[in-house]
Amino acid sequence: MKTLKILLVGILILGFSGMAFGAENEETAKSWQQQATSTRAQVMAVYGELEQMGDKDNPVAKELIDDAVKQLGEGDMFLKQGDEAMAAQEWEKANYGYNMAWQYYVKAATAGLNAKSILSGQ
Amino acid sequence: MFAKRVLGLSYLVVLFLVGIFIISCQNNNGTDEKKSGNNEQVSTAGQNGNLSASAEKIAAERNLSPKDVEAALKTYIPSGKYDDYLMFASGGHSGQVFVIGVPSMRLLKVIAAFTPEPWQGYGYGSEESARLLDDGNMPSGKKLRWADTHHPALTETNGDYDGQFLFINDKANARVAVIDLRDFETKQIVKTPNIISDHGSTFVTPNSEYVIQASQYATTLPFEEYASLDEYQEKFRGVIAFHKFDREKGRIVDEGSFQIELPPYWQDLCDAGKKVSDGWVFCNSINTELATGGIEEGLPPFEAGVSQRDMDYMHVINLKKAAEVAQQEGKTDEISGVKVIPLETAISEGILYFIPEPKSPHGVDVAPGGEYMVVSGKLDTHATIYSFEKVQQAIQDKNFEGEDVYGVPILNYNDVVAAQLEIGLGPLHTQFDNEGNAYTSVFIESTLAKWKLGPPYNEGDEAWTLTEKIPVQYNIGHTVCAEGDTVSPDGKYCVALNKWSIDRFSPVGPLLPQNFQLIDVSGDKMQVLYDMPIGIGEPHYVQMIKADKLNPFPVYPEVGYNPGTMSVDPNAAQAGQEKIVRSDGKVEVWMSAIRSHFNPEHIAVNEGDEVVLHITNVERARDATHGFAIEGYNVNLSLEPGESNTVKFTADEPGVFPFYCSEFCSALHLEMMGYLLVEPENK
Repeated sequence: MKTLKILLVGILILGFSGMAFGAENEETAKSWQQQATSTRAQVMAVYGELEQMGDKDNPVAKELIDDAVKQLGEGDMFLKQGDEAMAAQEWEKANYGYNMAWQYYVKAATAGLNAKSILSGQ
Repeated sequence: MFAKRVLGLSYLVVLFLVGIFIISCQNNNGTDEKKSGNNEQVSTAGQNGNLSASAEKIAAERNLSPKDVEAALKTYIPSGKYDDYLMFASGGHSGQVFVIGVPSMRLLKVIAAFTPEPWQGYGYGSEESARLLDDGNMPSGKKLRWADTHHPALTETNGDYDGQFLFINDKANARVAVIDLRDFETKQIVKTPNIISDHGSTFVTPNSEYVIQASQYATTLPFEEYASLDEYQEKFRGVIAFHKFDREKGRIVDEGSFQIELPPYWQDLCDAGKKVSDGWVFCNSINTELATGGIEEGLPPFEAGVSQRDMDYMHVINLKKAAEVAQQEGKTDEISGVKVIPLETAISEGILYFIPEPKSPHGVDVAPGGEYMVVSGKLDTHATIYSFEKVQQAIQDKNFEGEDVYGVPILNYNDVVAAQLEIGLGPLHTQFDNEGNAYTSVFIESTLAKWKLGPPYNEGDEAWTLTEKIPVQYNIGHTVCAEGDTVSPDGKYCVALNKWSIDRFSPVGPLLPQNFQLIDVSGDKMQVLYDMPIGIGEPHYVQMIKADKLNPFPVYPEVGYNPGTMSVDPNAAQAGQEKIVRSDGKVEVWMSAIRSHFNPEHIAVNEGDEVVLHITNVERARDATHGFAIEGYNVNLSLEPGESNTVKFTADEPGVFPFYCSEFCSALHLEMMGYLLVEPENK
């Protein structure tokens, strides 16, 4: 259990601090890609929990989940843009795509966590 | 619903899922208790001590759990009893300040600051309030009548709240208001020259010598000068203003006030050093990327551009040195009538240093003893704690890892950090208690995190450890704890200043109130006690002061008191000396108000006359406030016992206009009226 927690924390830290400090190069783009994808993974983990819990016909939770899905969709759109730019070695464009994807994933996580709070009776 | 997305998950996701589940289990003890509480009514005396049978019956009928009952008992204040603490909350868009009792969470007063407020007769005919509001106009004279109040700051003596004055900023227009806590009224509004936007404001030095105000969104210096965004790096600047406060006068004064030019990063929250770090000031910044947005042109929007870098810069300012330099000939520029220390001087004189800090930080909060500065990078998962001693050593040793594009020396991050603590997703702002604990708001995951400071507060394995998190509803911005940003915090209570309330209150349309959640931090486990909806604006920061430190007037000390000058007004009407004096084109009236009449009651004027009314509430009884409203003339005053106020207007509406007392002052309140008779000029 402790190991899992350490791993989780480690990945969180990696996700939030994995960016390079400097020029718009391949390394920077890769670090942004990692941040976006690891944050997406966190979002999906929350979704996994929500799926297990079910929405319990709670309209407020449903709205939040819908919002989270919408934010996730926006994030995925930018993630795709980032991947395409990465493949084309357009680093600046890739950075932009991954950065925007990450912004949307953070919003998705926020909404998802609030839905989880409501469904768990907090 | 999520099946398609879940299909794409890697083993990593499974790891997260399990991990989060474990974390949830470990951290949500309060949740488990609440869950069980919701299903468990109060049913035995054993659970609730000596709760009477009738009380148990009420609890059962209302489906209250033992935890609910406990929370109610902790917050209930019987009629006639007072709260232990008062909170001064920024009123956000209302442009006002809210005064709230703790633990009852009762709204006691809304102090009119930047925005007209009719109950207090603020901005509705009173000469004094008109002057105050106009002092806050743009330098061009353009009227500003809304404000976005963000951060209140109580005056301090030796780093402790002294209950004398309160400052509040207006983020929207870079203004500061001064409120006198003898009568809880605004006395001064300062439109800060050179800047038009501020966020890191207001904060005070430990003896309130200075009120600190840092600009937020960088502009030209001064902001009235034009430059295009292509010239951002060259021509845009940040500014930190140090307003000199004269406690005797109760006013911010020009003499001794100065500003420092800063790079065009977006300076965010600040805090003054205390005790060992007295004389220094610390401010966060974001947008060290110098992003200028432009989503419409296909450029990265600000939200992306501003969060590209791992690190932004904490500004470390030697205030003592800056104050000396500001007085030296040739060391400052005068811009818009204010002394400004140029950036290059700030660097060469050793006034300004930078320290890398986790990305897009919000709070920088100095520990009670001044030894540590706690920074929460809201897009980082940590609280990063810097050692003031190490910072001083690094400055002394010139231990710099480089300099920024403007030449500001950057201290070596690794050499000044005392600790870094994993807090959670979206840490924002930290307060302290009297037992060496810190409380950090965590926005994204909606929790308040409690953790232990290091030495001298806690030693060994206890130091720098996260001890508890409590869920809050939802998306906490700032937090406040009892006297939690002073040299001697009290503990006992914290309040989560939540930005979203979502499902906490009865629906009132799409615009929802904010949610202030009172949290008991006195026990082993934190407990949410009360949800208070704030439906008047979006508060940001709050300070909580022990109630017995405040000593407001019960009534104004003498009859004829002018709250603007805090002395008897030479023009105040006195009982028995009421009169009407007419001169060419002008009618001047000295009027008294007492239950239940005005004297005089008839005021006859000609259309076009200038009308001047000096009205005094000659009552000496507590709470015997009178209003003075003239129908059709947009006039309403609040005259508290002893207060004198003046109204000036032109009688430009002919006809008959009743005036009346707009406070229900007595059984004959409705009879407390008179007539303004405006004779048409062509009659």
